[in-house]
Amino acid sequence: MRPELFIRANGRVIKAPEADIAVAEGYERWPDKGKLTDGRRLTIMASRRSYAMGDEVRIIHVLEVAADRPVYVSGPKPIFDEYVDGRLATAPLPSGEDPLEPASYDGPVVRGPRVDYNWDISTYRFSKPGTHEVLWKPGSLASNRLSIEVDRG
Amino acid sequence: MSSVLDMKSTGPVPDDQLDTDARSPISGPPSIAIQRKIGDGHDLSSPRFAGNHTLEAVFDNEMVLDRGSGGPAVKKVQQALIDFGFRLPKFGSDGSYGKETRAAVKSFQADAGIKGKDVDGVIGPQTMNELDLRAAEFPGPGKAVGKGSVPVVGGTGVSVTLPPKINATTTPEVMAADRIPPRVDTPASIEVSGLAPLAAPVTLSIDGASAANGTVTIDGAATKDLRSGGIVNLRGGAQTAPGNAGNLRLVASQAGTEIARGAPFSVSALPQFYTDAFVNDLLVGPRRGVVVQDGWESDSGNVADLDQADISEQVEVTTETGCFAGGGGVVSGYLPASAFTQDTHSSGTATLTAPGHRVAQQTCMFRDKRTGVTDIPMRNSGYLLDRRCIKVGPGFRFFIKKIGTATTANGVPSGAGAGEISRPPQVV
Repeated sequence: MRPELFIRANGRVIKAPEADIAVAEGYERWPDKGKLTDGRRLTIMASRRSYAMGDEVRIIHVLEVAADRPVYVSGPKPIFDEYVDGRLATAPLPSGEDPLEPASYDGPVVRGPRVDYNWDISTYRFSKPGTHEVLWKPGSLASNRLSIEVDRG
Repeated sequence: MSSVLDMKSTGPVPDDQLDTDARSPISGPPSIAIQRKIGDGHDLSSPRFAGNHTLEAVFDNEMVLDRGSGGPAVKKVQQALIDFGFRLPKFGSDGSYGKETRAAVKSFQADAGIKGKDVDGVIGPQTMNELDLRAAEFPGPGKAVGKGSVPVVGGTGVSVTLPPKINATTTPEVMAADRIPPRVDTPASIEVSGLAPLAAPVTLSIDGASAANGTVTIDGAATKDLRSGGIVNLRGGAQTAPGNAGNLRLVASQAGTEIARGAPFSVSALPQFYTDAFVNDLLVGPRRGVVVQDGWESDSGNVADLDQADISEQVEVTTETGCFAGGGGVVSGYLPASAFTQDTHSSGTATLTAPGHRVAQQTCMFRDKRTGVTDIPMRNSGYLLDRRCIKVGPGFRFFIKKIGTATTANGVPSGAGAGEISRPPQVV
């Protein structure tokens, strides 16, 4: 089945744009997924590697969970501890919070194995040309390092 | 023989006046002049038979029709017998006068008041006369409705009205695909009018039934004969496989000719009637709240039938104040409907540091791969989720409840689900 991604709009949760879902569909073939750590793997993806300055870069977040681990499937769950060029670009992970098992939650908790795409989509615009790096690093977990090439357009 | 007149029935008919292949058994030598001439003052009167040379000859006592006869004249008589309500179940109107036709003729003779040894299954002048009279009551072939123009057997003026849709009442109104569940009856109202007392019955059947398209019984059988309108119960058997939706149709026919065809439908079970029950409190660690056991029904009565359906939970926040501000609603995405889930409703202790109130609405929608529908609101899956954080002394108390309520979440409306979970205050 196709991945399901959602965004927030006017207080409601709605389906994400088709272009975002298309990026998520490429997860199985994504060449540099994050490292599998304790049965969990974080991967971030974008629609392409090269953008012009000022373009919106939409980061798709994927959690892959091994068998028997709990998966908090409802979302979109907030992204904490995402770094751009080494600097924290999102809210920090709240103290005592498991990054993958949100304490404030409404919904089913199922068992892995499962690929969970139900995370917020973070967006960035780069004002400087060159290579930029995005890293999702909540707690002890870390995603792949996603390199974005930005030119003057 | 049906009358003494038949005993006089002798004399071969010139071949050039015979219907093709019609051959009559001859009993006895010729003893009377051949009269077979249309317009001789002794002609068949019903449009169904009038003008047929062979039948006129029978009527004129020049020949009989019996076992071994064949051709268009026999076929006309056979069709008339069917239309009059005398069954030829195996061979129908095949134009060959065999054992089955003879039995039907005997039944007709008895029904027509012919007595004794004249009830013999042979068509002579008296039987032909009775057939002609009976044909006047059945004014002749009508038009077949439906595919093709098969020789008309619905020629009795019968009218059949099938339901405009074959759709279980458990099907949500917004669902575009018509369907019935397996295992349980779905009543369907059938109107039948104009069926003469002795005409062949109207037979209901399911066109397209197969392992892939799904199977359906009508009052417990593959077909159902009706002589009048009424309610029949359709029951799904095998469910429609994904990709084969809408290939089933209820069909009404009379003696093998289709006279009405219903709208397409499928066999598919759907989820409905969500339930929630308390499992445990979350009293330690980084969260406070409750775990509840989700459940639901299949409208087939068996949740295992939902193996091609998925359910997606919707939560929309309508009130968020104080410590709860800024959370927002969530969607679970589709999860298999054939396995129950447990919901966690919780708030992080790190956030429960000030008074606050949060109200959210929860409903569910489903998709069904068998009928190809998606994002359909699930019946009776609505809940109110209420959280409060209240300062008590130096600390806070957390209250949570989940109550079945008719509501809408993320644009998905639903009636009230079952269950009310209201937990005592939890120490933060």
